Amino acid sequence: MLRVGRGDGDACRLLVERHLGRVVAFAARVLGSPSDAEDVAQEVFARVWTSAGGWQPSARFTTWLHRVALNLCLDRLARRRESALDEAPEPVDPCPTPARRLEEAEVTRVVGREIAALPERQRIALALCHYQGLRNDEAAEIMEITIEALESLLARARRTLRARLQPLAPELLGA
Amino acid sequence: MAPAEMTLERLRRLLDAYGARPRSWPEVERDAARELIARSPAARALCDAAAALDALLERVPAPEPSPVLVGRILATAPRPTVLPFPGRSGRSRRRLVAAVGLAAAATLAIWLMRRPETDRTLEPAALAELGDYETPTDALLAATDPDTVEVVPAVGCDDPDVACDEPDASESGPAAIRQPVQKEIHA
Repeated sequence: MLRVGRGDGDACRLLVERHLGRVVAFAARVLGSPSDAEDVAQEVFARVWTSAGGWQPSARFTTWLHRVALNLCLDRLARRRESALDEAPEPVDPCPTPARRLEEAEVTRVVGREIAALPERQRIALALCHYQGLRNDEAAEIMEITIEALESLLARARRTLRARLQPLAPELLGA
Repeated sequence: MAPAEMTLERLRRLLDAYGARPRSWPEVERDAARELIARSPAARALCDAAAALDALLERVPAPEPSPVLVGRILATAPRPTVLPFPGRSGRSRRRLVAAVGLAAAATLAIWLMRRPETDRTLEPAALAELGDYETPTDALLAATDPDTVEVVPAVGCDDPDVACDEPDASESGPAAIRQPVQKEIHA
């Protein structure tokens, strides 16, 4: 980061190579939109460039990066709710037909849809811990909650997903 | 703080929150959870159910960043700043210039002080070559007494501007040299 602050082009490229994919993936899972995720990623790195000069080596970069990305995502989600052109995902049928079985190709689409339909904080907790692979203390710090609260969000998210996906893909989820 | 012993209920909460991947579990509980799963069929069943949901979640791929995005981000990256002189501030640069000037002046002064003086005295050998006075030329070179002006080189006494004495017929000729008046030469 110190090299980035001095305008080292190689350091900037290396930082982008290492972290851009994770930032885009995280933002996409939180926002449910790849294009919005790229916009957020560009804003995240704009903050990285301006912060590099005064970077404190004691800070953990990935934690800081995810915190910045999350804040930008939350801003966008708040604007969506306020906007008249809100593009929230379609409400999911709370009682899917038990007899219907998902074709293999639909599994990905349905699982993605169910994740996007989770409450915001459950979706964020799942994205940070399961997909981004952060430790529970890191995820709790990013969300500014306790580890117990984080575990509660995660447990509720997984129970909701299991409940909604079990009827659609019982052979995949087991009994 | 790690629990004293991993129970089935604690394992259930662990799997509910973090899934079946041990790397997702809190580090302090990892070994104890593994041990329980290894010895308890009920624990293994819970773990298998959590693993099935994990597999479904892994089916949802993450989008890759577009190449255009990479270019847009790098276009706004910081650029290196170029300084004309080493040093971090204008004050340091002025000090450096002053120091270089002083060093150059000191070097010049030392060189001037040590430059050897030109010896303006004649070597003794040069003096010895002058020898005694033998010709009117010697007298001209040595004497400054105005009385010696009577000794003049003969440039041709036919020239009226020279104001020579009337030439002696026996000594006529343009290059004739008149005998000098015998005067006491003062050194």
